[in-house]
Amino acid sequence: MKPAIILVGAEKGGVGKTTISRAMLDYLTTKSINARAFDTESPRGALHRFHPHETSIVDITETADQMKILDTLNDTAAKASVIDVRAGQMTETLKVLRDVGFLDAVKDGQITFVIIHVLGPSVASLGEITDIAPFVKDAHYFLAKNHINDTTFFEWDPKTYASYFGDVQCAGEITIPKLDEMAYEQVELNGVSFADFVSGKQGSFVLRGYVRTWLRNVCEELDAIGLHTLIAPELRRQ
Amino acid sequence: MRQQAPVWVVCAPFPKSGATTFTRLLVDYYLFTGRPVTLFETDLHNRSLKARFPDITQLVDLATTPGQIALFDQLVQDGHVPRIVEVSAQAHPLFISQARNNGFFEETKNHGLDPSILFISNGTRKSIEAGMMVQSLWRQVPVMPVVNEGFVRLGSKLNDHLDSFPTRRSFQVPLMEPMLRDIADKPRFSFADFMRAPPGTDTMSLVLRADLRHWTQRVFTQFRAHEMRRAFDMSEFI
Repeated sequence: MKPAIILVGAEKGGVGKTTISRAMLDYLTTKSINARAFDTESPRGALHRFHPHETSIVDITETADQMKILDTLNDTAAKASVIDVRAGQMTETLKVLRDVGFLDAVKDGQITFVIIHVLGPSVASLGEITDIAPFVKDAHYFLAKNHINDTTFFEWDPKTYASYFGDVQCAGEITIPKLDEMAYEQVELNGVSFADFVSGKQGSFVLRGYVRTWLRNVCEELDAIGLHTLIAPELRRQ
Repeated sequence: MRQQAPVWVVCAPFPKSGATTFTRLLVDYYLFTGRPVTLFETDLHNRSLKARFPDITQLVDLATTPGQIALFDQLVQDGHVPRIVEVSAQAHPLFISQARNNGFFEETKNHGLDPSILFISNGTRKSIEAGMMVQSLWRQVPVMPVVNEGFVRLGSKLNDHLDSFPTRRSFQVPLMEPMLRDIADKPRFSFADFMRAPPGTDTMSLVLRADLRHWTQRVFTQFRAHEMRRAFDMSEFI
């Protein structure tokens, strides 16, 4: 299995990048794919709070931290590295990855690169696609529509929507369903992963049920785009 | 034999089929036998059970998360007190979807509970199909049809109708004479108190008293028979 990097990001804040990163780590665990995570919300990491054992807080603009992520890809037991990119740093992070030669390694087939681009409901969010287009040619690029914060995506005119994809090849879309507010808040208060909240015996039975259903639906979405087989092709053969 | 607390879910997918009367009789059966019971009412408009049993009835709004927590979290609590839920026609789809998503019936076995679904039929083919659908969702839970002849007049077709359900056991609430119904419908009338009261403590006609006792006994006997059958079913040594 070649190493994989899953970049979860958006330029806009508050669209649920960390929520998707958290669900992603739970998903990889269910698939028995050993994963680690990097939280770029330096110095305080939101992802780190929920997955402290797998997550390191890094500053992607620092060379030392770039080395920490990229130079260890072949040495670590973790076969997938999830990077939760802080708001406003998506393009910057991709530039860094290009400058250090990471994108060339992806082009050569040495590393699997998956980008989960989390979109907000506004057309401004679509504008981000144009910005990152030059960096995603050799990546598996997916758009994630996150409904977790009651957003709707109806205001996108289909023609306008299509016009943003002139320079970028999107491998697919993920729809993240809305999670009940009380359930979401309860997981936040507990400061645990979604999977741990579901399997725990503390807290409301109903709220655990909401989180279990939501997480199952997210995992089905990730299954539908074949994420696990992109990262671990041997899973396809099993 | 381990003592299990019964959880009676009175499901009424169709309105005006006599669910409230049946639930009232079930509650009165427990009160008559001197056992505490907890009752949940989902019909927020009618609230007739709350009016009759104000001390033991909790109104729950299944359309809201706090309402769902108030119902399901209390239903799955450990303890020996029987629980009864009347699921009104309006709340029925919500209850089914919630119970499917949160795994309520699967969870009951972890808490020493013995769930039963009492399916209030309106005597139609649709009712049989709805009952079969509920049974197919939870094969491990007995789904027993109930026909309240005060609301559903099937006459000679009653047995054929009940035989159409995928279960051997069923409940029938016999037709009540109008004069008896006038007595039973009084706001302060309680079947439990009536059955416990010695003769001569009220001004009721002896004939009406005998008829009403006979009618009530026909229903209470079915509850008792069901309890005894469940006890035999769960016995380790028979």
